[in-house]
Amino acid sequence: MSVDPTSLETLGEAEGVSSRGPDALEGKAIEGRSPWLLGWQRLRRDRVAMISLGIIVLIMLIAILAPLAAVVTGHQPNEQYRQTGLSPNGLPLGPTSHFWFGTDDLGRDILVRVAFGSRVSLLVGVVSTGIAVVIGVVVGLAAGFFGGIIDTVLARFIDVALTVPFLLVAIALVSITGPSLTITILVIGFFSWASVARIVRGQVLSLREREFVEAARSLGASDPRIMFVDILPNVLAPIIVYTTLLIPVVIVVEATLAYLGLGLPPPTADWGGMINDGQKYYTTAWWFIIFPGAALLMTTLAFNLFGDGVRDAFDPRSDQLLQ
Amino acid sequence: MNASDGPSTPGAVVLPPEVSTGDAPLLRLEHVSKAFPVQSSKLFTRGHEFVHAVDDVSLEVRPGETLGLVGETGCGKSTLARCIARLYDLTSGSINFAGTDISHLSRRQMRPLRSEIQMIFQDPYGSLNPRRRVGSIIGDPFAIHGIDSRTERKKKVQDLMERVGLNPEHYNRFPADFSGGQRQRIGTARALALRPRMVICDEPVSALDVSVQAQIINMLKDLQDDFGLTYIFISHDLSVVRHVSDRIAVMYLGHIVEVAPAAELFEKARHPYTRALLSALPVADPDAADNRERILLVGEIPSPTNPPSGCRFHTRCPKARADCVQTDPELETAFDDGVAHLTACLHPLAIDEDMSLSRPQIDDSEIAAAPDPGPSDSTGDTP
Amino acid sequence: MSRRSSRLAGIATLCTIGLALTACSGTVAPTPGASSTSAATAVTGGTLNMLGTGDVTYLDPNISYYSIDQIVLRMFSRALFTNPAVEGKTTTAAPDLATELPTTANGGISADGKTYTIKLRQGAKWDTTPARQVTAADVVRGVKRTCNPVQPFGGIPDFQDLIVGYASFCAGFAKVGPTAPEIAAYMDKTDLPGVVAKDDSTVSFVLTHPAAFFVDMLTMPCFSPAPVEINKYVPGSPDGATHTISDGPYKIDSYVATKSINLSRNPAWDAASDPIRKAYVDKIVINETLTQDSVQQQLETGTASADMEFDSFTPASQIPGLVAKGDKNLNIGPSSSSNPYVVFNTVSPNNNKALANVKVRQALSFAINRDNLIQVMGGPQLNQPLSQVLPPVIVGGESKFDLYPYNVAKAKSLLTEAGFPNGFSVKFLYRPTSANSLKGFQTIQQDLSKVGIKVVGVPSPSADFYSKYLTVPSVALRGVWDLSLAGWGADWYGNAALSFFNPLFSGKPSFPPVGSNFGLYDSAAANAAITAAVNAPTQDEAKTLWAAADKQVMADAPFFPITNPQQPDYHAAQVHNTIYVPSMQQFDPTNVWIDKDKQGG
Repeated sequence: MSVDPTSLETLGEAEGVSSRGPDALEGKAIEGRSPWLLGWQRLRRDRVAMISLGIIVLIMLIAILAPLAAVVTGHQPNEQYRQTGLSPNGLPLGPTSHFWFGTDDLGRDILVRVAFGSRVSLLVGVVSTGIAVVIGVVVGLAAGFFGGIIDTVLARFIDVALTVPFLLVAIALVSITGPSLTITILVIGFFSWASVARIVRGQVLSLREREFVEAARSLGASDPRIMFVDILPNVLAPIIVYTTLLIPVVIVVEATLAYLGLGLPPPTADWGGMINDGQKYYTTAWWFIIFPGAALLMTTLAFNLFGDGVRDAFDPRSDQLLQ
Repeated sequence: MNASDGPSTPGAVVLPPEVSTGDAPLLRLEHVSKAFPVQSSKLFTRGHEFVHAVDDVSLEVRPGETLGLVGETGCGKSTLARCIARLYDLTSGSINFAGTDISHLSRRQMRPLRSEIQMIFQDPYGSLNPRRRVGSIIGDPFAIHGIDSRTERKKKVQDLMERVGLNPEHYNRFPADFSGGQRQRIGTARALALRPRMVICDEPVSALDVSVQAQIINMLKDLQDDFGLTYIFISHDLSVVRHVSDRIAVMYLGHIVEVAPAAELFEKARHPYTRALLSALPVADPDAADNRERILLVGEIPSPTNPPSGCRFHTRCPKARADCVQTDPELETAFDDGVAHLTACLHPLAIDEDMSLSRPQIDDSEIAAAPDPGPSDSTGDTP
Repeated sequence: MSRRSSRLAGIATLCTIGLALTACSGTVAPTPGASSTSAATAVTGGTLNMLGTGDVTYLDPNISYYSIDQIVLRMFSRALFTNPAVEGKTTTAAPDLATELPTTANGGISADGKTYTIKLRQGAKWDTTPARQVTAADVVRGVKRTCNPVQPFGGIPDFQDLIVGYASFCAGFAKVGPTAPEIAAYMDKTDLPGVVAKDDSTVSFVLTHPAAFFVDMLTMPCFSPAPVEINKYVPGSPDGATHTISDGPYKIDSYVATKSINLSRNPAWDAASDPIRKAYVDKIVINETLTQDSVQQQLETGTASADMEFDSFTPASQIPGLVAKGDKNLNIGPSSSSNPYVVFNTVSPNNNKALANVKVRQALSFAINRDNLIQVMGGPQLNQPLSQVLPPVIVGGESKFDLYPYNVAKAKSLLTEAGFPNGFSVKFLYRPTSANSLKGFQTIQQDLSKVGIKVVGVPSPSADFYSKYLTVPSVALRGVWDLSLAGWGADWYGNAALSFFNPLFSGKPSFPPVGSNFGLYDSAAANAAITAAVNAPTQDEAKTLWAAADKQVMADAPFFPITNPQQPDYHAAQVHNTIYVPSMQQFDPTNVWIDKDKQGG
C-alpha cells in the first residue's frame, strides 16, 4: 500500500485529538453508559412517572402482603360477617372502625377483598401481557425479518387479529369454557398480541436493512441469531413501552370480563366482579363500588402514566408508532 | 496529493513481487451480474422490471494486493462488494475464491468461508449495533463460529482492540460512546477477528472527517502488512483509492470501464470516464490546478433499470461516436498498454489528448433513440 | 326455567328472567302502610300512566302465560272467573263472565264432581259493529285455541289430562298447518268433548276425575272466550296482536311492540255486566321503554305523567329506606312462589351416590342456614321464610312446619351415620349473572364448609342454565351438578297445590324436560300421597291431603325451600284504591282512581 507518511501526519493528529476529546469522559467511565442506563436516568427525572412507579410498587406490595390485611383487620376475604357486616335486610354496611372500607352485599370486608383483588388484577395484567408480548414479538420478528410470503401471511394474520371484536370473542370463549383464572389469562393474552406484533414488524422491517445486520450476516450469523441478538435489542424499547401501556389495558379487560360476570369464579375477590356487585347499590352503598373502582382506576392510571414516562425516556419516537 | 506524488515508474513499482510473478489470483470474478427486481407501484407487475446493478463484471484480485474500485454513487460497486461477500446471490456469472467456486454455495456451505472474506462497512454508525457493547460486537465472530471460551474471547477481543488502536479498557462501552473514526476501528477489529485472507472495504472512510480518514487508511495499511491481507477497497473518491491501491478498477453503471495499476491509471487514463473523474480531483498546487484540463460531465447518470445501449457512457461522453451507441466495448488493451491495463472504450484517449476539446458526434435524437444508429454527422458541430 | 319448556309455571318463569332480588314473591305479607284504599271518594276520568321496562309476551288471553300479560288482559279481556281486587279475597276465585261460582248446591257441579256447568252473563259484549253478546261458543273457541299448533299455551300440562278429550284434540291439532284458515277449520270441524256449548249462554266442562281446584284453575286467562274474528289471524302473530277485539272496559287503540300500549274506554262495555272492574280512569297509557330506577324516581316525584309500574318493581336496595320512612305508596304483596330453592340431584353418581341417601340430604338441609340466605337476599321483609313445599297462599300450605331447623351438630351426626364423617365435595350449579344465584351459592358454600362439605362452583351462563343443565336428565345422571338453585311458582291461586306437586315431585312424569323435577326425585310414598290429594272431592279434604303430601315430600328432603318471596310494588301518591292482586303481581289498574288534579297526561 502506498501511503505518503508526511502528508498524513497532520491529519493523524486531528484524529488523535478527537479521540481524546468527546469520549474521554470525566471520571474515566470505562463501563459504557448503556442506552438503558441513559433512559433510566431520564426516567428518574420524570416526577409523574416516579410517583406512578411508587404507586405500582405500593400496589404490588399490597398484593404480596394481602394476607397481612386479613391479619390486621381479622377478616378473611371470603368470610361473610352477617352479624356485624350486614343489615338484617341484607344491605352492605358503610365504613366503620371495624370495617374501614365498609362491607359488601354478603357482609364481607371490602378492604380485605380489595387487597386480595389486587393479586388477580396484577397477575392477569402481567401474565396476559407477557403472553401477548411473547407471541407478538415472535410473530412480528418473523414477519419483519423474513419478509416475502411469510410476512404477507403473518401481516394478514395480524390484521385479522386486530379486527376481531376482542371483547365479544372473549365473552363467547369464556362462556363456553366457563370462567377460571387460566382461561382469563390465556384469552386475554391470545387476543392482545397483534398490536405488539404490528409494532415489532414495522421496526424490524427497517432494522433488517441496517448495515449491522449485513455485518452480522457477513460474519456468518444464523437467522435466529440475527433476529434475537442483533435485531431484538433494538426493538426492546418500543416493546417495553408498549408492555407498560398494555398492562393497564389488560387489567381493564379482565375487570370488564369480571364485571360481565365472566371473571374468576366466586367467591374469589376480583375488582371487576366487586364493581359489578357494587353497582346495584350505588345509590345506597357508595363504598361498595367506590373502593374497588378507585383501586382499579389508580392501578390503571399509574401504569398508564408510568408507561408514558417510559416512552418519553426510552423511545420518544414510538409516540407515533402507537397511534 | 496529485499524480506527481505517486511512484514514477508506471506499472512496476506498486505491484508486490508475488503479483508480478503471476501467482494464481485469490479471487476471480467471471461475468458476474446482479439484477434486482423493481418494486413496482402497480400490484401485479411486480418483478417485471429489473435494476441491473452489476452487469457482466470480470475481475481478478491477487493475494496481497489492494484493488481499488471507484465509481460514482450508484454505479454498482457496493452491490459488487456484497456479491463477492455473498451477501447477495448472483443473477449470473461465477465467483471463485482461492480455487473454490463460491457463487452457488448455500448459507451453510458458505459459513466456513465467512472467516476468509470479511467486510468493513461504509457507515460507522449503522454498521455497529447501537444496543450492544463493543466487546461483544468485536467478539461476535468468535461467538458465531463457536471459537474459544468466553474468557479467552475477551482476551482476544482486547488484543484486537489494541491492534486497531482502541483502548482495550473500553471493552464495555457502547458504540455511541465513540467517535466515527473509533467506530470504524471497531468495525475493522470485528472484520479482522477471524484472520480473513480478504477484506472488502466498502467506502470505509467516506463517512469520516477528512482529518480522520488518513488515520484509518494508515491503520488499514499497517494491518495489511501485519496480517498479509488482500483488500478490495471501494470508494467514490479517487484520491483515497490512489493512496491505498495497487490496481484500480473504474466502474460505471454496473460495468468495469477501465482497470489498471494505480499509477498508470493516473498517468495514462484511457477511458473518457476515468479521465473525467481524474480531472475532478482537487489539486493542492494552485498553479497546476489552473493549467489542468477540466472535463465536466453533463447530465445525470442514466437509470440502471434501463441502461443505454452500446457503450453505457455514450450519453455523457464528450468523445461519443455513432458506433458507441451500438457496440458495447470489451475490456482490452489500448494503444501500447501492458496486459495489466485494460480499457472498455471504442475510442480510447491517447496520452496527450485533450478531451476538453472533444464534443459528442451524435445527435441528441440518437442518444434518446439509442438502438438505432441513424445517419451521423461526422463533421459534427464542433465549434 | 326456560321459556320453551311448556310445563313450567308462568310466574316462576318470570322470576328467573327478572334480574334483581325479588322478581317473584309470596306469602300474606304485612303490608307496610296498607295500600291506600278508598278512604276518599272515588273520582272517574283521567289517564293512568303506567311506566315499564318491558313488553307483554302476547296480547292473547288463550296464549299469554306471564303475570305481566295478565295486567293488560285485565283491561280488555274478561275471563270466566278471576281473582277480584277485593282486600282479603285477592287469591280466591270470583265470577267475571260467569254468573256465579258453580257448586253442587246450585247445580253448577254435577254429583260425581266431574261436570261443571257455567252460565254466561248477559250484557257482556264484544267491541264489534254492532256490539255482539259474548257466547258459550266463544268460550269453547278460546279453550280450543290454547293448543293451537303455532303458539300453544305454556300451562297446558296443568289440565291436559283433566279435561275429557283435550289431549286427543290437541294431538290432532298439532298436525294442522300453521295458517289461520287451517287452524280455524280444525277448530270448527273438531269437537272437544270436555268443553261444550250447551246453548248460547251455557258452557259445560267435563273432567276425567273430580277436581276441587277446577274453579280456581279457571281463573287462568287461557279459559277466556275468543271472538270469531280472531280466526283471521295466526295465534301469537303480530297481526293478531294489533287486531284485538275487546270485551273488557278498555280497548286497545294502539300497540307498538316493546314501546307502548294505549287503551281507551270500550263503548260496548256495560258496567252493570262487570262486577270485577270499576274502570275509573278513561285512558291507560303504557310506556315500556324505561329503566327500573327511572320508573321508581318518576313515581316518587308525584308528577301527573307517572302513576304505576308496568313490568317493573321497586329496586330492592331502596326498599329498606322506603319502609323505614313508612312510605304508604309501597306495597309488599304475597306471591305463590318458592324462589329460589336448593334442589338436590338425587341421582348424582358423585361421592358414591351420597345424595341418593336421604340421610345425606337431610344432613344438608340441617346444615344450610335459611336465615343467612334470607338475609343476603334482602331480609325477611321481602323473603318470607319457607320451610315446606307450599307457600301459605296456596291451599294446603296454611300451617307451617320446619323439619330441618338449622343444626350443625345434627347435620354432622347424620353425615357420620351415612358414612361421611369427614364430609365430601359437591358441585354447585349457579348463574353468575343472577344476583340471588350468586349470593345463594356463596352463602351455602360458607354454611356447608362448617360441616366439612366443600362446595365447588359450576358456573353456567343464564341462557344455558335450564336448557343445557337442569332440564337435561342425562346431565343430572352424569353428576355434572349436585346442588343448584331453581325457583317455582303456581300457575293460579287458591287451590293450586297441584301446580307445585305435579311438575316438581310426582316421580317419573315430572322428570324434565316435561316436568321440572330437576333432581329426578322419585318416591312411591310421595306419588301415592299426591294422587290421593289430586282426587280429593272437596277443597277441605284437599287441604288436608296436600298438607300430608307436603310432609311426605319434605321428609325425603329432595330439595331445600328457602323463601316465599314478596312482591314490592310502588305507585304514585295520586293513585288510589290500589289493591294488589297476586296473579298480576301488581295493583289492579282497572280499579284504581286518580286525584282530580293529577289526572292529566
